[in-house]
Amino acid sequence: MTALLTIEGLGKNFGGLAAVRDLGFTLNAGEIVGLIGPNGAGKSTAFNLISGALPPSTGRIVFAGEDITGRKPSRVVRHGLARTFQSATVYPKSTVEENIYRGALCHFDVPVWAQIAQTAACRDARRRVREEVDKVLEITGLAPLRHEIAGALAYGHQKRIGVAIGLATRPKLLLLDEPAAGLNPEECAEFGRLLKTLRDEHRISLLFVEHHMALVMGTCDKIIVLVHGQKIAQGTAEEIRNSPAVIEAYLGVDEDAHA
Amino acid sequence: MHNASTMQPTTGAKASAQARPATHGGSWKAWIPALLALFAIPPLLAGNPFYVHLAVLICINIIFVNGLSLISRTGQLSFCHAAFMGMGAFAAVICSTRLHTPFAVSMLAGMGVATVAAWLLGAVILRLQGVYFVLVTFCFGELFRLVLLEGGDLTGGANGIANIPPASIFGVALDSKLSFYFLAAACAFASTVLLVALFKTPRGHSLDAVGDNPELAEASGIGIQGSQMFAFLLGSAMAGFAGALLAHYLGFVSPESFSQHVSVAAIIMLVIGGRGSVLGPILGALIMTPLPELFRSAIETQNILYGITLILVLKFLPMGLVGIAARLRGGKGGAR
Repeated sequence: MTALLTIEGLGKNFGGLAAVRDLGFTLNAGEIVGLIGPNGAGKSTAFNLISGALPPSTGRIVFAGEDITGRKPSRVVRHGLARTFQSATVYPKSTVEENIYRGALCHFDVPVWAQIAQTAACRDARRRVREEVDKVLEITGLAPLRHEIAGALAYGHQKRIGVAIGLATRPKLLLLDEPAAGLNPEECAEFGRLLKTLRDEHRISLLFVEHHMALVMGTCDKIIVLVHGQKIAQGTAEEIRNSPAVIEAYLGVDEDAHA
Repeated sequence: MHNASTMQPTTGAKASAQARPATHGGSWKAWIPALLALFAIPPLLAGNPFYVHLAVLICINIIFVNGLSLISRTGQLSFCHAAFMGMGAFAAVICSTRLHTPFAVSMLAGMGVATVAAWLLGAVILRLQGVYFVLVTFCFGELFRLVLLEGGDLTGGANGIANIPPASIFGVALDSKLSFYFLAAACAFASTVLLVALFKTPRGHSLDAVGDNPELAEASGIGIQGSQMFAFLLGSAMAGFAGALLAHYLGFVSPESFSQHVSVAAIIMLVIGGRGSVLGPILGALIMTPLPELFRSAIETQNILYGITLILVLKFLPMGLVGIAARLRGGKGGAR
């Protein structure tokens, strides 16, 4: 297996507070990796560092053979590393289709004069974008809602649109920030199936931060546990369940543990 | 937010949306004749030079506010739009009077200077968002006015520059109000068509994406800074062009023509006409340009009236006059 994402010695300080310290792990192509930890463990900070939303204080992030440390999110995405947001983040006034279309513009590099002149190359590129939108609508099951206004849809649908926008950027790796937060059990199970489909049928690797233990244990190939900004354990669901360090620091005090 | 009708399954409107997915803006067949008809009205009033004068000012304001509307669609509110108009005006006038360049060259120089200045300023301040951007642009606008006042021989100080040669194209001097109107109308038409065309392209759609949700746009590959810089450059170039045109029309420029009041007036026109629509600047300029003339008897209370109008529009018509049309049509207006 080849390493898609390699994190080395990643750290972030906010003033005197070290939110993430010396974090290191690798994610192989085709893997689903979960990042868990109690509140305030630095999961979201780690997530923002990897996606480029925050510049790291120390360390290196290598993605698909290229050092992407400190690059802006819009450039990281074009390299194949997309992210979603914890809350439902959509373009509320636009339709579902337009939301996904805006994500698919990621790789649209026709110069602006050619876009206005509507050259053949531009029309071709636009057709490819439309095809990409249709494909993503199918994958995410949003096709029946394509003409609905995103802001008027239910929370679960909006989170799905968030994932769809990420997918439209044609990622190799998709980072998901608490994809199950605020979803009911049925939506959550459906989400788990979507994640597996993305990996199995569309060769997209996934890294997600999540509190929902059943989803993490059920879908992840590898789990990384953060406490106080440091990695305390890494392994399969089975190994994590039986790790004394994790039980002591995390599962022992979490009400989801016996779920 | 949106009425329940948008939740219903397929209707006629949706079928047409399906045919042209993710494109905004009415069709060219609707835009071009409507604009041509609008610009054809003033020559019919040629008997009254005052109306023609107003029509020229409206055309120049359309170009000016078009620029501001482009910038605002990426989510930034520029309070120094008049400064770029002033840069265009003074650069063009200095070329015309000192270097005796032809009118077209002066216009290009004015636009070029405004664009370069926008690039220099934008590179520094476009990392600011929201109210911070507003404050810095406000300061820059004031700074520019003071520079003009202290500019000595180059800018003529408080007196400005007079005796600007009239515009001429292909050797034809546009020295009458009506002949200048045709030039101004052609330019206003062109700038509007450029915006309509731009907002039909993916580039235009990505500008709107940045305006709607910058964080999401950035996270899905549409750079905030690149988009805002593009809009700031093109918008400021339009302001510079409008300024150069105004200077050659009036035959006179002074620092006070480009003070903060003018920037605020542009914002009022944009808000009243409607942000987020290419039609907004046209409506705004059409309605707000003649008002100072009508309110001339109430010159002291004029600004109070504008303030009240602005508050009322923001409160009851947040999308401006264009919003009424969209609301009447029900749901998503095609006027984008």
